[in-house]
Amino acid sequence: MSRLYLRIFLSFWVVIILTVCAVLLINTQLEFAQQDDIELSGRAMRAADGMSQRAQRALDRGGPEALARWAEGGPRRGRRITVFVLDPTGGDLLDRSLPREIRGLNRQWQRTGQVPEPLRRGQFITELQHELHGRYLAVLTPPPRPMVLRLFGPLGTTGLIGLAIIISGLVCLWLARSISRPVQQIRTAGRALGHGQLNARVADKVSKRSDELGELARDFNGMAERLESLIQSQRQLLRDVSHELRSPLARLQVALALAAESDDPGRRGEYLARMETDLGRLNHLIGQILGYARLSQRPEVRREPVDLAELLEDIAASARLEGRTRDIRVHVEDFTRLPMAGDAELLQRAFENIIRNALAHTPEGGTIFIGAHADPDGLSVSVSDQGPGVPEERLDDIFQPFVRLSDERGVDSTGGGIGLAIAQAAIDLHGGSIQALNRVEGGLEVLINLPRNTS
Amino acid sequence: MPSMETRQSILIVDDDRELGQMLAEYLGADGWRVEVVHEGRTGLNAALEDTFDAMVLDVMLPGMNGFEVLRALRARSTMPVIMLTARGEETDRIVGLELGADDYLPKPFNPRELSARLRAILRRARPGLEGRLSAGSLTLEHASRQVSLDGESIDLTAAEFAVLEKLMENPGEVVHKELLARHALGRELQPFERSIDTHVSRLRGKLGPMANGEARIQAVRGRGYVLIEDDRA
Repeated sequence: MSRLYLRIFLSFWVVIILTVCAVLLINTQLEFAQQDDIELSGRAMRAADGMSQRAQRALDRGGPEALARWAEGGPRRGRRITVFVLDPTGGDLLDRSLPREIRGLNRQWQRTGQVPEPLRRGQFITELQHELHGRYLAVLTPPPRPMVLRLFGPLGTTGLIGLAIIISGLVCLWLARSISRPVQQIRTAGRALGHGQLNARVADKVSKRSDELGELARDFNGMAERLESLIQSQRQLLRDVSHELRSPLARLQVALALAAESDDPGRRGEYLARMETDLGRLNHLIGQILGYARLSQRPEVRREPVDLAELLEDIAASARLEGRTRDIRVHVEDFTRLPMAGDAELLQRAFENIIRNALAHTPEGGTIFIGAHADPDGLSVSVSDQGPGVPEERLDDIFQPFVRLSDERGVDSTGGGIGLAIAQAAIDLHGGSIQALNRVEGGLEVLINLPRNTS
Repeated sequence: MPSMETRQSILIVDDDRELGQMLAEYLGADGWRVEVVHEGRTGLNAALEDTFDAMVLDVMLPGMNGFEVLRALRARSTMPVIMLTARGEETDRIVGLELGADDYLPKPFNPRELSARLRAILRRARPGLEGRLSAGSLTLEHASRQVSLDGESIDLTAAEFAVLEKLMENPGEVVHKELLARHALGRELQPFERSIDTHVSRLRGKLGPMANGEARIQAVRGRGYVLIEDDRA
């Protein structure tokens, strides 16, 4: 059972039980003590009546031994009434250990030599004389009042009520504070986060607790963490997009200035052709960015029958055409049909981007391998190139938009794009997974797993 | 347009090869001698080893970025630098100026503007007037472009030198920001632009406070800056 639950439950329960018990206990003790008082004071008075004569007689007749026997008492006196007999050195004749109040009386008697006054009702004190053995002090004392009364009796009813208020108040205060303070701290962090302070977290003191509030704080911190990284990556994306769009614009403006100030029609045509290329790139880039934005907002994909084998063969054919100028071969493993349910257009875009990426990184004369494998509930496709691969620690980064891994920007300025990010988003939407790994024999392998989703 | 004998050399550091090539063409036709490199480290080495008159530095560079190049360069050289930035963020501009860039230009820009700014900055950097200026414990020599405080020489960038020069010409008088911008950057300030404030703040840092703890250059809100003359030690 959880700790906060237990804490609230137990503290209320314990306070209520303790209160009820205390009331009952004090009540019975009080009643008991009143009866005792009446009964004992009667008995004590009877026992005290003529005590000094009887004791003196015992002492005279049999010396200290007889006095000790007398002090032990008989059934007539009642067990709960005790007689202490102190010898001249201050010790009890029966070697009993003395209660505190008797020790006080003893000290007083030893010091002053006077018979001390009784401390409370029912007590009776007398001094005995013996010509040989000296003086003795006999103290008859009723039993002490019950503990509860001795402790709380002096407070009175008002005092008791006050004490109950203070103790239960302290317990409830502790309970309330132990709940409201962490809640307050979580709330403060929540408001800070709400006001855009993305690094707002609940302090360790709360999040390290093992109760529900600690869990809440940890959940809050986890949420804040994800939110911060999401917003950071969005901001980064915005910066990157701005950079990617402004780079061709900067080239356009310089080319425009060159064209405008050139007297040679041939040169001017060259600059205009460059501007056209950059405009095309700009348009392509904007299309990709919008496509990516739409993709990452789309909640669900269409499900229609798609033959992945056919789709891959189509893309491979285009890739062969594109790779011919650099003598790159595209090898597709022989498979007949790979049926699944999905959005053909999205899948087409995903695989096209992956294969184009492989094409871009394969050196002249190289080969791209496309393999596939089908099992009852999923399809897996692998695309391998013979490029330089990717540093191990950055394998996951290549699916981030606009991440540039190599130090050199591509000669044609198209590298570091958004293609693999689009592929990942499309595969994600189909409930699949995509990962990259470096092949032992060199080059990068991108592995895609897709559920068939055929019902 | 500068004549052939006084052709000045510009180092362009930008990883966009096409842009670099076109800029070289444009500035070359404008009378500059231009060299383009594509990496931060090679750019820094070229700037430190060869004798370029000015540098055009992009922020986003592979390997060592523009800010790192500028910081490393400023440790050893006061060569005039114009930063290019495509991210278009105010912080990029401020950071560039704080690290000691003389001016910045956001991408996309008109190459005519780049040429004009280069010319303005180099005009400042070229020894012009003869003689010296002094204000309190500060001394400025026009010819050698030396500034010294209590006899100790201080390294200033071209823009900082120009700002201080203007302030020292009129010690104790308020010099308007517009005037400082025309003198130091060779152009008008754009709305909300804070380049001059950044140069002044770097200048304050290099000069240090006066003996009584006050800043040597004080801002006069809405008007400009004033150089306070301290008592010569």
